[in-house]
Amino acid sequence: MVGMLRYRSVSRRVFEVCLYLGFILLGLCIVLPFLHVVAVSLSSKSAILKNQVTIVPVELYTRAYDIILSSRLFLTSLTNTVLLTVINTLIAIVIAVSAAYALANKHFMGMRTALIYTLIPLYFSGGLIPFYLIVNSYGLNNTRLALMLPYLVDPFLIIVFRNAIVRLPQEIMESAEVDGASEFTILFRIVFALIVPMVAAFTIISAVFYWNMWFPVLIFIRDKWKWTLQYMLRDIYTNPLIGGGQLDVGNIVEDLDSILPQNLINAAIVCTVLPVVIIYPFLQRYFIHGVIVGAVKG
Amino acid sequence: MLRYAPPAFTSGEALSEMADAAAPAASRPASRRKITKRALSLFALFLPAAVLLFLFNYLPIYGIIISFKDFTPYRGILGSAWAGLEHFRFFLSDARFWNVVKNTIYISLLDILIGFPAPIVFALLANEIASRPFKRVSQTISYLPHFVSWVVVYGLMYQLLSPLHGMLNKLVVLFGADPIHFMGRVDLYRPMVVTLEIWKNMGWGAILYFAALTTIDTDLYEAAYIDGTSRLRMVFAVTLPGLLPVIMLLLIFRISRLFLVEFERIFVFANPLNYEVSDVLAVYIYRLGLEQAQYSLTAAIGLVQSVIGFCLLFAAHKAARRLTGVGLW
Repeated sequence: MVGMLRYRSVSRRVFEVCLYLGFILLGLCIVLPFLHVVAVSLSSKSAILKNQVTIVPVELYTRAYDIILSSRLFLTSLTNTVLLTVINTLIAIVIAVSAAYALANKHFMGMRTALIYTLIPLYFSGGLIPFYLIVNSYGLNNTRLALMLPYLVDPFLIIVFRNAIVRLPQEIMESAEVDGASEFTILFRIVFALIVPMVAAFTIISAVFYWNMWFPVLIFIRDKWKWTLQYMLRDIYTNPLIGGGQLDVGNIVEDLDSILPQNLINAAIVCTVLPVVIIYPFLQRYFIHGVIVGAVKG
Repeated sequence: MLRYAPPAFTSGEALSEMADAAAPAASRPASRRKITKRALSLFALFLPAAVLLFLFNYLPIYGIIISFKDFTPYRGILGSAWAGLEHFRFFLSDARFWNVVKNTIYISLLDILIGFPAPIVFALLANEIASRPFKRVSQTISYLPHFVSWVVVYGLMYQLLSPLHGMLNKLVVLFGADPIHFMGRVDLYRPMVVTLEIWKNMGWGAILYFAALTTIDTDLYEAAYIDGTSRLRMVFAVTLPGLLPVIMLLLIFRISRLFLVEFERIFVFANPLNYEVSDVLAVYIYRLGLEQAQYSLTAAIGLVQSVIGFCLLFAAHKAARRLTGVGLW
């Protein structure tokens, strides 16, 4: 709308040229590191050592991907991550929407108590150490459940959904009530359908959150077969690859002459990031706007 | 057994009593059975969240009592011997702790001074772009780094900044300088993490400002245009005043997180070479508490951090309420 007001002065033209150049530069700053990593992962040893690789692969070499995709550790971490992401996201969203619906419903006795109960953790936490000890005391240490149970409820998410449900036209729910629909029916048949865009947006945001989660692995998991991708990646950097040993690839000794650790590391990054890069543009601009504005105004 | 019930519970009860007293009488006498059934199913819907919050948010608050004890895993939280304020005395007189506090505030202030205005500037400049597709693509690209983890950012930078084969150092060499070992230099640690925070979250952070921009009355721009106001003056006379409430609100809450520097960013770029500047509270608690099993000491540090954090947040709420007339509650 502002763009429609035309300014045609010379200084404005100069400014606009600089503006476009600036944004192109900014975009490059964001995209180039990704392209560089892709390029290195796909380049030959000699090209990397001669420092010829920038953003286009030099002397295309895909063996690193063969190795990564046949590495037992990578595949296990990938499976763990996918399962964790899917299960956590589904449960977290269902729990949040259910709680939000209850908290938005006038028939819920003690609603204000429940609301305060939900809000307090936003303001005060026990801190890392008590949290760690309590989770351990449930016997969750070094189990996959330690990556799930403590991270399923986000009070903020509940409040955001609640604010959305409160703003829905109440007559729809009331008329369903009069027709004798149970709360579960109203929630999953009517309310859920009405806040689908918001649920979709937060499903993606939550999924990305779980996909990227590695701190809980750092503190709770010692068994490497329970690692997530992000943590595996971190481990590669803290314990540099010596011939891909810890990736647990059957036999790559034959490749050691032709492959560099950089090939493997960067191929691992690419495989870790790819799903996110594919999914995130679905959070289109106005889509996000609606959600965030709703969250803030609420 | 519950003699040492943590203060959080008692105050929670007090709060809920207050809330109950304040809540309007919800139950109507008519069709009492039906309402009870509805209330029950609503309670069932709330139950999973309530149980998980209790187990993983409320009980850790109770676990704070170990900061007044000498916790040993063998004796457990209740069985460990009391230590009074010993741990608090210890870390308050520990020079290392104060260095950690200094590091935390240092990075936090840099984030506020440089990182906070970045999304505002980004949104204002993007708002000047006339071409819709160009604007859309720029924004979409700017979100990308927000969706990758700090481990991945570390990986990208490890390659990009590598003194041997990194693209950036190729550029450095092109300008006739020697390759810079970015990750190994203590003096570059803070600039690096502050810059990367901007790199990662500027575009995402700007969303709120884009949203606020759409709420500014376009009549104001048209009136200013007819009056012959320059585009630059419009930014200061119309756009910025329109954004001011959002900016102030976010700034207040940003300041309230002064002692909460995010763990992951600091931790992935930390190495023994830069511990002197990279040890912030969250990382210090992790290393001392979990790697060296100093549970009670670090729980005490965490408690102080939580209390200060709560006070700052509470003050932020008060300030926000006074400023905008609407609190966030």
